[in-house]
Amino acid sequence: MSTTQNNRSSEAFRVPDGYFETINTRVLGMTTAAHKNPFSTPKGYFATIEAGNWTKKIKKQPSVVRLNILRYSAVAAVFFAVILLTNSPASSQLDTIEDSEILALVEANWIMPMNLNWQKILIQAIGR
Amino acid sequence: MSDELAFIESLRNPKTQDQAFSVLVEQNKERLYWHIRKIVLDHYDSDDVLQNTFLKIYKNIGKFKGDSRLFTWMYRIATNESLTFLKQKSRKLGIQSNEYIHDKAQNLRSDPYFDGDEIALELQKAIASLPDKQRLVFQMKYQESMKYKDISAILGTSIGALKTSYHHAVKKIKEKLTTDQTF
Repeated sequence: MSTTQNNRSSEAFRVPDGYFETINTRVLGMTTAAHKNPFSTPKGYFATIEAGNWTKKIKKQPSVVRLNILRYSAVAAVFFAVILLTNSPASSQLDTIEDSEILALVEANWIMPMNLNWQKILIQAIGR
Repeated sequence: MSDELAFIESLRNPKTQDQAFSVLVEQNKERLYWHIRKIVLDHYDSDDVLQNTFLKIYKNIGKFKGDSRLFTWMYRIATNESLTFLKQKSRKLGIQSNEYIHDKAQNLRSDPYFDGDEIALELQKAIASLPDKQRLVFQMKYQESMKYKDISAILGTSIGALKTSYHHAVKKIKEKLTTDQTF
């Protein structure tokens, strides 16, 4: 058996070759094979990792501030559109008509509301 | 150290940052990948986490104060990104992150990028059964052969606490492997 001699002593105390390297694994009661990295990667994987991939990606990304401005602008646009629609003169006129008036308008115009744009016709009739 | 400071400066300088970042990626991609891989186990997940890690390094290099080594700062980012990734994945599945990693370890046999034998497989399962902190300490100390001083800087834990965690981790792994009668 191949052995390693203790350098600090002239006495013939010897340990097997590579003994000290195996202590860590032996403490856990395992062979040196267990200490070997059991994981692998696809062939050539590390060669595909280049800084350019990341720097390009970062430069393409819009900033968080710009994204937030866009998001808030979209919400504000929807909000104002809803306000404008609900406060339009046509809709306020519509709010003030009585049910009987609506029926009278439908009858007067000989319109079948089921087949046509109900609100539009009423607004046109009122506006006349 | 002065070399490192000069390198950090070149990473911050808009004129030199792209070239400096290429050097940083080239020098650190493998060791950061393996550090991440030991935490998340799956190759494709590791690839995602590695990308996020480098993106974060690139974006935040300006905030790096230099009170630790660049290597420990990058490892800290990689560790946090890996743990965040595990939490997000497990949340989607409605389970705890340690359950998720336990399942991953159980399925390693069918992983095309796991070449370990039965012993290595059982060891991975035993490591996966540890709580997060003990698992990280065990991996960094035993599998990556890192110094306690460096692990302490990365995890922000005292060396004494790390030694205790490592001791508990080794004890639990030994018990688990003995109970399973693999050896």
